[in-house]
Amino acid sequence: MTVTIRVPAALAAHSGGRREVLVTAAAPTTVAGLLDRLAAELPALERRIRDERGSIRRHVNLYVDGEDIRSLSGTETAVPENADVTVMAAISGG
Amino acid sequence: MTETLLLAGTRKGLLLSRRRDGVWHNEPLALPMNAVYAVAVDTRGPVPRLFASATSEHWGPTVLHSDDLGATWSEPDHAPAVLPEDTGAALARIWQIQPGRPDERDVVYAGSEPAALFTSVDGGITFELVRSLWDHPHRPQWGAGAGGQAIHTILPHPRDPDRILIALSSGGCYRTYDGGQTWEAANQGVKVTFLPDPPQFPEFGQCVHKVAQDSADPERLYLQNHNGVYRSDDWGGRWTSIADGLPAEFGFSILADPHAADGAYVIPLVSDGFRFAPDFRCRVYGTRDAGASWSEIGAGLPGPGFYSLVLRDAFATDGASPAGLYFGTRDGSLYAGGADGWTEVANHLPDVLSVRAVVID
Repeated sequence: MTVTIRVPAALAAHSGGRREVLVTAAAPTTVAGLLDRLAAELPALERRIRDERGSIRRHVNLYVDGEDIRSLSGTETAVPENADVTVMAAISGG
Repeated sequence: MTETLLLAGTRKGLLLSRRRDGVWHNEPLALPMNAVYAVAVDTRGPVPRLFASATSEHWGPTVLHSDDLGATWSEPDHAPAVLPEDTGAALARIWQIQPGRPDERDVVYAGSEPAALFTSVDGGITFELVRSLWDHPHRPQWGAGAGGQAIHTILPHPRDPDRILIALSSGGCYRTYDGGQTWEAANQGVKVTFLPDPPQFPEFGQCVHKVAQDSADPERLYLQNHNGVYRSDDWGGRWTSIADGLPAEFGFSILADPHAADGAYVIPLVSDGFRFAPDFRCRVYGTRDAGASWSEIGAGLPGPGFYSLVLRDAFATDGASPAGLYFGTRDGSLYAGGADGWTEVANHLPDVLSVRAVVID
């Protein structure tokens, strides 16, 4: 199955300038499984989304087809085929 | 042509400034939106290698290096430093980057939050956790200062490859005599004023802010504590106060003069409960006799009316003889100078977190 990861402009330098990255994963998969695949292909991008424990960074939000995964099942949220996974910076900082 | 390169890591990026023919030229802020807690210059190779620890509030920590004096910065695809899975912890930021001894060309050390020591054997591109210190039985009792728990000082002994001394806030100093296999606390004589019935002198737990090594005698160390300025003549075995002669004993940073034996510098603050420069005047104090006496260094610093301060790693020398001194403030000013006076190199920067300087021929 193929999933589209939408990359914020701040991270485009780590995706070869692409704002959309197509990731192929074995179905069924989860957010964690998808990020494992991303880590194999674009590790510099993946490590900015989650830390070495596999936790999504505190000020990063992930949406699967528009739904915040923190309101779903976190990194165990199921990712359907052809889903859009959006990476966004949370509101924080100064 | 000789050039002085000044690196100032700030809360939101890295400023490089170059002094040519007596004039400072500030470059546009590099690594914007990254807190640069550590900068370093490795002069052991044919071309100096620059390092910057960059932490994004959103996207986490990394360590970058530059082999073209800051024109471009590189990092590995995979994280340069991570805490192994079994630790259950994640790296928050690198607080210190320290090149190893001259005869260990590719060895670079890093200290982090949470308190961990890392070693690189590939010139500072990738780092591995020093497990022996991570597993130290004191670890569960180590605390955190206001800035977070951090190993902020790493001092490889210049003559003995088996010796390294580190310092953390809070926990104090630890040293190894066997190449990092075992570590012992080295805080005898350093007071704690933030526990009941102060002062107390525990084996560990001190909030040591920074330690510097004398340029001529590596057994001699200088320590700026959370209340207290100390010297050790036996590489941390015993510390004695050298705060007499200073207007105050609190502060964050301490430096050794890179050429003058018994020379050190501090930037005092009144106390932990009143973190302002004495008389609200920004002042650097120096000693030429290992702390027996202190005097104000140079003129031209701001105040009265100076309400900012200098953080632990935002004070540096350039290694020249006589040494140039450099520091940055939390209100974003950057100064260069010494006994002949001070010059403001930059202002309106984000909070200055780390400063290093090098003279390049």
